[in-house]
Amino acid sequence: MTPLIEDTAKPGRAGTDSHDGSAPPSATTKRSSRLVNGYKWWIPWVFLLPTIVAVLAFLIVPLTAGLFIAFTEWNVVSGIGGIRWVGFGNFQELFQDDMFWSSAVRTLFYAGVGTPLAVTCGMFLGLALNRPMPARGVIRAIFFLPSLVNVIAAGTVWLTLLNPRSGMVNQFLRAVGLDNPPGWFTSQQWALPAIVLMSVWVSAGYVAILIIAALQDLPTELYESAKLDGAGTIRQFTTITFPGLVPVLTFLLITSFIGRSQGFGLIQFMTSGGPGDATTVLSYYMYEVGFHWYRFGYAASIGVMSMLAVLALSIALFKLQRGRGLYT
Amino acid sequence: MITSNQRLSRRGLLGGALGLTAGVGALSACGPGDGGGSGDEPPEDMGSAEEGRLVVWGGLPPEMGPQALVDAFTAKYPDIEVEYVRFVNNAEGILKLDTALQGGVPIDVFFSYGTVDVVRRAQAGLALDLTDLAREDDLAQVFVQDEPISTLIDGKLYSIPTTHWPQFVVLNQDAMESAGIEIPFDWTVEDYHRVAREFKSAGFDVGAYHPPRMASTSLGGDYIYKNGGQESNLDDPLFKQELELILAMEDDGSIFTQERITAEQLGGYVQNYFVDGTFPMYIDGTTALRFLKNLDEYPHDFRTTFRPYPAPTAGADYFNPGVRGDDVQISSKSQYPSAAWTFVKFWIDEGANHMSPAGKVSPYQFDNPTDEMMDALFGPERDRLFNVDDFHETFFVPEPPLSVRSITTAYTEIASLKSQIEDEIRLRTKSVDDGIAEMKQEADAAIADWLG
Repeated sequence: MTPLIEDTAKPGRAGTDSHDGSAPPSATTKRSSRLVNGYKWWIPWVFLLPTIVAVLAFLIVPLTAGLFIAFTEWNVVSGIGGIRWVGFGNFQELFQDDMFWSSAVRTLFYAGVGTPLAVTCGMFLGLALNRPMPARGVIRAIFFLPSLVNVIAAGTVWLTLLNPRSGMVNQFLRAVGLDNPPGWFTSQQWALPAIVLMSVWVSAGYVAILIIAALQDLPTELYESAKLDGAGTIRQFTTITFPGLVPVLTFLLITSFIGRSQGFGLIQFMTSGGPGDATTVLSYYMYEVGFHWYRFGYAASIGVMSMLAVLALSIALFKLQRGRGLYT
Repeated sequence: MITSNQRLSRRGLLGGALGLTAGVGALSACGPGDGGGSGDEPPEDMGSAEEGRLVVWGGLPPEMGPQALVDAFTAKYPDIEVEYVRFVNNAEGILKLDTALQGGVPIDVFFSYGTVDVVRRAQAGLALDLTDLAREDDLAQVFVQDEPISTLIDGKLYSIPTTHWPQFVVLNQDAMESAGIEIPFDWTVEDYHRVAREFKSAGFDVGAYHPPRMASTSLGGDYIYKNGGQESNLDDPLFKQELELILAMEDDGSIFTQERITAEQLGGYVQNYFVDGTFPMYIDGTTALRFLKNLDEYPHDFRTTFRPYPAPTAGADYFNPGVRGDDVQISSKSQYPSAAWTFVKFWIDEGANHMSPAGKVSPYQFDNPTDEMMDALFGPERDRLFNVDDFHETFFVPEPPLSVRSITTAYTEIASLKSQIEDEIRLRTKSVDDGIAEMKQEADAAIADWLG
């Protein structure tokens, strides 16, 4: 007999391992009893420690530091000792900063137009790619490729395509009779729409893949019943497919909206916020204020305001879809 | 013509010193200035002038000269160990150096490219005050003479410029000759425009890449400020004149339109278009030679010649918008400042020849040019590829004097908004008058914010 059994068989110890005291002690429960009796409160924390450290180091501390810095004036070069507390000064300045408001409007346009456009295009692409067709896997992969392409490569392609003089897009537009096609990235009116267009191209394939996955989860019996009842394709889409896709569409809308609100890479590479300030969205403005002007406190306050706005809009989006899905 | 230092002293530097003081005060307002080491006791010098261990951060890749320089230095001073670290001189690289300096990474010597960075780092207490060291040194005392020739902060020297970098016009000589274009050495902005039109007529895509600048050349290094940095100077008529010239040059094909520059992202690759014959004229400094002598990467068979930066108006005094730059600073936290000073002096003096292949000419080389330096600058095919006589007549001249920038109040913000609004004017979405009014208003607001 092992010392384990000897130890747990001692009078007065049996049954302490049972949650309700009703189960008769057995060899198994005695073994568990030994483990429970040897329980140390810190053991789970040891296993949690790596996660806790990671969350603290990469989430809580930066978030708290960012929030703190938003209430300071700091040029980083002067080190920690150069941090000067300014209270709500940065936020007061923000409200009077025309560039902040115009950047916010551009961000809203970029995310507010680009997100539904990308999700809608991706949804119809997903519906199309879900139908039986030859080489379906290859075709799906081709449409998914843009979301895997490096932003620099994608940007270079689009700069060439949308070159106002020699780009294929404008050559086509001229060929169909448009005398003055848009200047795209060189035009203050068209630069942001051009970025939106490109971002839709980048993300539609990703949306389509998630839509396809969601479509395959929809119960086929609903479609069979609908067909028996005489429902056509449009009726099936509006009463079964679309409501069934609402949860994934909501997820895509919220995550894409958040992603676009923070969109930076495309703008940094394609236009550097220009021409003029036509593509200076909040994230680019924050970068410029922080890393070019060395006003890290002010940049952090832009970040805080941006985060609050995105959070509020995300919650609103989430609440809007509540109760509208097939399963909710 | 004018003598450089007299003119600098008269026009801008006294006022500029006041402005610099204001700028310095403003910088201090952004932080107490005790964060980067100025509040600490200087560390004990653990070496001597000929002994120590140095970490040097610079912007050039090691293989372009710095490593050869370091090797030559350690051959001469075997008891000083030097490690060269390259940082890319862009926003991210500059931030990396800043955070490394204030975060305790051991750095003894570092390069600051541009007045703004020199001033920022000095004011944050990251750089050693070199004034006394320079006063006692035959080589460096030129930087603490009465009339400044490079950046001083509150009259103190925190950096030594390692390059003498005037801007000049780089020209395709074969194209000039075949088009029958004569260009005098004392030419003007008007001449430049005419020559660009003639090149355009001779079949080039455009006549020149850059438009000539009028405000900076007429007013000197602190051209965007007035009242010693208390107000922007963007309402000076020269800015309007300059913008109107740029629009006129775009309209007649003398230069690329802003639309084309943006669409094709031409900036940064200017030499490629010069080499491939898209245009025969652009403005640069000695760094252009680095590309033009490299036939492997920039193949071409024409000869290149040079002309000085054109004068805004005939007979008037003016400034060259180039600078004495690539400033080297010694960290205030260095444990080997004596050895670091030895290294800095080596860099600008006998070590400078190692940097010439990268198109760098130190102020001392400029005063005492040697055949060795010229060979390094132009490479083995210098006479076939370059008109070296014209280079001498363009480069080794005291006039026009180089700009000295002494005011940095909200400099980065103003530079950024000025560039944005100039873009809009060149894209014809804003009139010159409206653009200038907006520039002036926003620049003044930025200065007011900065000054608190």
